[in-house]
Amino acid sequence: MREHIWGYIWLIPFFPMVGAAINGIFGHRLPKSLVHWIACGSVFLSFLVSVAGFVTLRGLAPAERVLTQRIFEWVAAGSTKIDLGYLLDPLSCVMVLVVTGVGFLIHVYSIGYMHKDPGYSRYFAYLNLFSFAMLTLVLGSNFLVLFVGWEGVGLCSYLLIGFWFEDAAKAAAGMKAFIVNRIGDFGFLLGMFLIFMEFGTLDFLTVMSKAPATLVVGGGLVTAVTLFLFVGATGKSAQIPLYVWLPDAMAGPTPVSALIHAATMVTAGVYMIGRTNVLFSMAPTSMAVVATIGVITAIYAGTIAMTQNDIKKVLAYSTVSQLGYMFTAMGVGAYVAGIFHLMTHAFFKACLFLGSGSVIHGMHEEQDIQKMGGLRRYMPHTFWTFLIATVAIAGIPIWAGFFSKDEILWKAWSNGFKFHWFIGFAAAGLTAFYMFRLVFLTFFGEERFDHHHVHPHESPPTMTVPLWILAVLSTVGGWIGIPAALGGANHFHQWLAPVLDAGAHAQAAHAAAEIANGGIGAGVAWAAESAGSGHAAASGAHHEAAEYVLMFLSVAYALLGILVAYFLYLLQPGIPGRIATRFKTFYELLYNKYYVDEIYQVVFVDSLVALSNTLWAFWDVIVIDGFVNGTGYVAQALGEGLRKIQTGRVQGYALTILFGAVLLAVYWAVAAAF
Amino acid sequence: MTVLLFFVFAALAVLGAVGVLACRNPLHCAVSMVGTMVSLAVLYLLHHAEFIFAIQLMVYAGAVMMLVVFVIMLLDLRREESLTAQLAGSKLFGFVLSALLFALLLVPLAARLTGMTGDMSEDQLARVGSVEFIAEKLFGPYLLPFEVASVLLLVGLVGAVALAKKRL
Amino acid sequence: MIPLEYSLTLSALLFTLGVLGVLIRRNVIVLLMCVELMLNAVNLSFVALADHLDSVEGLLYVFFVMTVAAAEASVGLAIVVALHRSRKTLYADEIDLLKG
Repeated sequence: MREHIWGYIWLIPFFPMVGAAINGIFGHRLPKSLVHWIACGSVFLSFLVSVAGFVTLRGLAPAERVLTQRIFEWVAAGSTKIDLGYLLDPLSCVMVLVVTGVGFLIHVYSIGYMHKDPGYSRYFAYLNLFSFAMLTLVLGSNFLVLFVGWEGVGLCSYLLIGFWFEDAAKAAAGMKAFIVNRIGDFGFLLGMFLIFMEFGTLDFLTVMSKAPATLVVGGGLVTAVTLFLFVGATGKSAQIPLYVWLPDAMAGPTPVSALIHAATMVTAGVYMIGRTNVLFSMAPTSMAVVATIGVITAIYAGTIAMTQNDIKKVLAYSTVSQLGYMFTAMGVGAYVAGIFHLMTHAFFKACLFLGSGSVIHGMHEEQDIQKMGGLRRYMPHTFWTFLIATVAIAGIPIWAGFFSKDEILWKAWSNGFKFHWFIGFAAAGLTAFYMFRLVFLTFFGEERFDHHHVHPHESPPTMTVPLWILAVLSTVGGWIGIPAALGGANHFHQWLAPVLDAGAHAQAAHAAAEIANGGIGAGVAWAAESAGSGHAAASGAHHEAAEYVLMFLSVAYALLGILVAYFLYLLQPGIPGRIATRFKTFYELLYNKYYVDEIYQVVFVDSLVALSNTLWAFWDVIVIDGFVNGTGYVAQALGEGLRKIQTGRVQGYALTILFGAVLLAVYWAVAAAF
Repeated sequence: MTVLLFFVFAALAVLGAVGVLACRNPLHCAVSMVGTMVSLAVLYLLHHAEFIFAIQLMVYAGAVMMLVVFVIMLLDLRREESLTAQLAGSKLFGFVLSALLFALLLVPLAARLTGMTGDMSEDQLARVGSVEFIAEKLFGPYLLPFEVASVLLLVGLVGAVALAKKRL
Repeated sequence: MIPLEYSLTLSALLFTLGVLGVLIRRNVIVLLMCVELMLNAVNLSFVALADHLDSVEGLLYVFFVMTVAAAEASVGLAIVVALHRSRKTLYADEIDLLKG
């Protein structure tokens, strides 16, 4: 038996749940310090238990690193048995450490950021509730528990995005997030139903171990299952076509954006694919779909991010883009690379978002970067941490983003996805460009704000200390995944290998590459030609040479992007404006996010509303209301008629009595006669 | 002989009843009623029911009708308009129904009686008179109804006083 | 001995006349008198049958009917007095407060 029982797993989600309950019910009556001690303390305790779990796992042999805990039998319907159980293996261990660790830092940051907000206790209650749901999601031992967490984080996302619900636009953003998520969840549910139908159980360990024997590789069922699950992932992790909620979600408080929309919730889809990697590896078509959508989302979001002026919107599109990278990794079969990028992204994106929050806080809620500039003199801590995180996301060596992003691109190339490599490569340069554009416009250059009304100041230590911790993690966080090509042992890969590296991956990846490359079209002749020659079973030297070349190319391209940004925004700041006017339609297209929101509004929302109105006008007003009102009308008419009988005159009543009596007498007489 | 008397007083009774129906002045109606009561009393006598004859005259013709006359006087009633003017559709229907009722009431005459008889025979009647017979039954097997009837009369008395008072 | 049919026919006739009176007359006192007429008709029926069957129970029934009729007449007249006091009218078709 591979599994071991560890009775403490339940504590990890338990502490935040208690925190949420206390702050939610009693929070408004407690003093602020108690509220944040409870909230931050509960997440910290979860972190400690997570570390203990990590240590326990390390003490076991790699093949046996599976800790389970069964709380109780949740569903017992006939022969169907579904437990409420937890599973702690290397994959979920990485996830809980990220969620509780980064989550703890964000909780601490929130103390300073939300200090003046009247909904202080409500905020921390929601944040704890979110942590509880997210931890349930990653610790679940079966699809159902995962789905409970999945829905829970969707709910908390809604609650937190629409936190300042008095503003109708912010409340609408929360609703948009929830509804778009639900569309994805429907796909996820269909996937779950198919799995249950086929296997009779939803337990991960059982399904993953039985799948290779039961399912046909490349067959209809496994492809359908994985595609449905991926639909759920596109909703939760904001990929095309269901990404539209994430930019709007910036309406929520900035720490929420950091936690939910950068570090944790949006990564749930990536985690889910990692968890079900056995199934995906058996469906090359789905892998091709995942990789293609991932890489297209990456570049698509990158192009939009280039033109945005709201500091948080740039980061939001950047998140969508980086998530695209993670899905690309999963799609090309590099599951470990995907999770690696998930972790490093959590570090630097959280740092970026919290840094932007610090800027917004210091600029009195101003979010337009066109009204900033030169802030590095006023906010040194924020500036340096933001810069470090930006360097990380741009993929500069030594910093964390380089190792994770590079591994993805290398695996794409080596598994035969040449086209996807190219798109990802192009998007990487864009990433460097727009991120440094953000840095230059915000922290460098002339000061474009009104000095009389705005006095930028640095944030308090509760906010800057987490920033520094995250900045340090953004720097060193990638060192556990240094690939063999650069002399590292890639500990991260070894850690996750038992979960994510089953033997079928390489073949599946190539099969997927062939599908992907063939599907993209004959026009990409170069890609098709390379597909035939790009098998990863090449010799060691050849393999390493290509890797170095690609690595060099990425770094060079990133530096080029930084230089272009420097040129356009610091040296010659007038040029971007002129470019925008010269290529007006193109600029407008990017600035307005390709008008996707408007298209969705007309195609889906307006048509449904029109249909509802038509149905309402007939069925509701005429049929149902007619029936109800008609009943009343009939009763009334009947009453009107019958009331004529009651004249109030006794003699009339006597006449009626006599009539009845005579009738009876007639009856008796007739009966007696015969 | 008795049959002749029967017809005479029967005719008087019917005449009185018609008078109640037809008179416009309520006092005339009351007087007609008294006539009917007295005729009926005589008819009771012809049926060998001396006790009933006596109490009919005392209670009905005496007390009840006097009460009615008192009330008519108290309320100072005027003449009503004639009967024909009051006739309406429903009243015609009333006529029809009443005629039908009369016909139906005569139906049992066609049937045979069960043939049960009581224990009052003619010579016994001549010897003791109906009063004693009634008294024997009344204070014997039918004592309870007798007592209840007296309570009923008390209730009626109290009720009448309560209803007619000016202020409760 | 009077034939039973004659008495019963007379009784039926008087009863019918009483019913007709209740339906026809407007004055409530006359209405009450017609009710008394109906009761008397029934009494005649009882007496005729008592005579025919040689039964004394028939006469007892008459006794009780007369008692109840007397009580009813007194209460009814008290009601008429109260009615006159409040509604100022004694015509049955003018007393229609319960008209629906």
